[in-house]
Amino acid sequence: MDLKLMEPGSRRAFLAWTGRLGLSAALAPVAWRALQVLGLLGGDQAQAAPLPLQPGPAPARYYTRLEGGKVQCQLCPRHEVLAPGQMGFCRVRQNLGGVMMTHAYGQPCVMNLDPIGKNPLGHFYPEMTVLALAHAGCNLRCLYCQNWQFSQKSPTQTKNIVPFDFRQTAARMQSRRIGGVSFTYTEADCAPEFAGDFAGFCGQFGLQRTLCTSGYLQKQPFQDLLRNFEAVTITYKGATDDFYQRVVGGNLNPVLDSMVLAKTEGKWLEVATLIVPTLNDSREGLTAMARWLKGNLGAETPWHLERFDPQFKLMNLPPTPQQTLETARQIGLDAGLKFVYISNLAPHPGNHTYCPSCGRVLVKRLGFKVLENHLVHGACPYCGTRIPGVWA
Amino acid sequence: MLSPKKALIVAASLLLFWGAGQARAGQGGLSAADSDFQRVKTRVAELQEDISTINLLNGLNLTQDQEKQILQLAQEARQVRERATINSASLMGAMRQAETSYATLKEEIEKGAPARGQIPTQAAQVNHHLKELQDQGNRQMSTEFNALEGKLRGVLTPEQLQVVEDFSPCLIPPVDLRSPVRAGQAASNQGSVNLLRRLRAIPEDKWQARRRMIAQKIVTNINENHYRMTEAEKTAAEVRLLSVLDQARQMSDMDFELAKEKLAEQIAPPDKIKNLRNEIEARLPHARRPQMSRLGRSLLSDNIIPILEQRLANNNLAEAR
Repeated sequence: MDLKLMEPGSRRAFLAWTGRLGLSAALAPVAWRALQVLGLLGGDQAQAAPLPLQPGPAPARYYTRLEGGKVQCQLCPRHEVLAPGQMGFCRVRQNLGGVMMTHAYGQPCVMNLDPIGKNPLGHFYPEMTVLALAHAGCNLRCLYCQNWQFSQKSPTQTKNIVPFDFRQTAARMQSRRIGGVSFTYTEADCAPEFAGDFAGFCGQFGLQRTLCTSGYLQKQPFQDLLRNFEAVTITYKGATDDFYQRVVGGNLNPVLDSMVLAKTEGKWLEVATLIVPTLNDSREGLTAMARWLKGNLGAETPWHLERFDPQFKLMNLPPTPQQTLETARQIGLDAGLKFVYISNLAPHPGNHTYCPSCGRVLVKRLGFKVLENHLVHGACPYCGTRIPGVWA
Repeated sequence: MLSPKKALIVAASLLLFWGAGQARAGQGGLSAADSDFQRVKTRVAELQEDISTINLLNGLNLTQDQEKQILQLAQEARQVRERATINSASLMGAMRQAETSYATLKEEIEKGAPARGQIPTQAAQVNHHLKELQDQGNRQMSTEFNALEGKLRGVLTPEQLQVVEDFSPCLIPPVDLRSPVRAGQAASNQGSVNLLRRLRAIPEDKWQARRRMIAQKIVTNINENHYRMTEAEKTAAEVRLLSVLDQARQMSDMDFELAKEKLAEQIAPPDKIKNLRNEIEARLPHARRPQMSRLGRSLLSDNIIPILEQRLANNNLAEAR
C-alpha cells in the first residue's frame, strides 16, 4: 500500500493500515511454518524432505473451533476449551488467534541413544539401540513423575534441539546403525502431529518406531498415531479410577480403552507399571490389574513392574523395596501372565525372559542390557515353544 | 612470722608445685583428648566401611537365600582368621627371636661400619625363618580363603559378580535413573556430558580466549584427583582434549546429542589406578598377594556379618507381619 494514496489527515485509516501491517508481520512466521508442516512449500519436494524446523508453534490437529475465537481440544479426554491465548493443561497446545497450535512440533528437548529395554520393551528387537526422543509437556500430573524436569514444562520453557531436520536425523540414525526411534520419557501423545509425522518419515527408511505412552488419549487421535508405530508400551499406572484421579491427575477408563485399541490394531504391546510404595502396591490392586491384563490383552502380554525412585512430589516415599517388586511379579505370574518383568532394579532374575513352558532363561539381561539371547527364530531352543514378540 | 627470704622460697616452691601439677593435668587432658580422637576416628572409619558394604548389598539385590549363604561364608572366613591368630604361636616365637637379633644388628651397624661375623649371619637366618613362617601362614590362609571365594562365586549370579567388580565404595550413591545397575560410585559419563554442554554454550570469542586454559584445568583436575601424569603425558592429554572439545563445539545440537556419550568417554579420565591395581594384584607372586580377591574383601569381611544378620532379622520381622 502506498502511503500517498491515503487521504491526508485520515488518522483512523493510518492506524488501521499499521495495525494490519503489524498483524501480518506477527502471523507471517506462523503461516510460513504452517505451510512447512503441512508440506505445502515446494509441493512433493517438501513432502519428501521436510525443511529443518525452526523454533515456534505449528498448527495442531484434533480440535474444533468455537464461537468467540475459542477452540476445543479433541486430543485427550479432558476436552479442554481454550480461550484465545490460553495454553492447554498439557502446556503443549495453545489457542493462538482462534487456531490450535502445538509448541512441540520438531522441538525435542531430549535426544538419547537408549537400549530398547529402557522403553521398556522386552520382546521387540531386544538388542536394538533406539534414538529416544522427548519434548516437554504432559497431559497428566503424576505426583511421582520420574521425568518431571521436562514433562511438567512447556516446550517454550526448555532448551530444545533445534533446528530439527527429519531427513538429517533419519540419515544419522542409519549411518550410526541406530535401529529405530522411540518417543518416550514424556507424553508424545500430547503432540501426535510431530510424533506421528516423524515416526512415519522414519518408516520410509526401514527404521523401527516405538512409543511409550500413558494412553490417556481419545480413540481417533490414538488410532491415527498408532498407524505410524510398530510397538507400544502403555503405562497402566494403577488399579482404580480413584488412584488415577488422586495420584495421576486423570481417569482410568480411557487408558484401558487405549490398551485394548493398541492390541486390536495389531501393534506389539507391552504394559508397564511403576510400583509406588503405599500407593499402588496392594495385593488386591495388583491382582486386579494382572487379571485385567490377562482377560483383556492376553496372558502373553509382557508386564513390566518398575521400581519407583523418590522424585517430584513424592520425595517422602522410599524407593520400592525389592521384596514388593518380587511379590508383585509373583502376583502377575499367579494370575496367569507369562512374562512379568522387574524393571529399574538390577541385577535381578526378574530382568530376564524365561520360557513359559520349560522355564529356561532365554534372554538374559543386566538392567537394560542384553547379555545373552538364546532365542532361535523367536522360539525356545530347548523345547521349541514360540515366544511372542518381534525378535528379528 | 616468716622472713621475706623464707616467704619467697615458700612462694617459689608453691608456684613450682602448682606448675608441675598443671603440667601433669595438661598432659592428662591431652592424652584424654588424643584417646577420644582415636576412638572417634576408628568409629568413623568403621561406619564408612559399613555404609559402603550396605550400599554394595543394596546394589546386589540379593535374595534371602543368598544373604544366608553369604553370611555363613563370612562366618567361616572369620573362623579362618581366628585360627590363624591361634596358630601364630610359632610365628610369635620367631618374631621375638627377630626382635633380639635385629636390635643387636642395629646396635652393631650404628657404629658406622658394615656388620661382619656372627651377628649378621644370625640376623639373616632369623629373617629367612620368619619369612618362611609368614609365607607358610599366608599360603595356608589363601588356600582356605580361595575355597570360600569359590563357594561365594557359586552363590552369586554372573551379573551380581559384575556389580561387585565395578563397585566403587562411596557414602551416598548418586541417583542414576538411566542405569539401574549402578552400585556405589561406579563410573558414569554424566558429569562429562554436563561439562560438554556448558562448554558448547560459551560464545566463540570467549571460547577462543579460554580454550587452552579450560583444557589445562581439566588436565590439572585429572592430575590432582585421579592419577599423576608426567609433563609429556599432560601435554598430550591437553592436545587430545582440545581436539575433542573443539569437535563437540562444532557439532549441531542433534549431532552432539547423538555423540555425547562417546565424546564424554574421550574426556573422562580413564581409571588407570584401578587398572594398575588389578595388574599388580595379578602379577604379585603368590606369597605377596593379598589373601583375598576383591570379591572376598567385599563380601567376606568381618563387618558384613552383623549387617547381614540385621538384614535377615528385618526380613523375618517383615514376613511375620
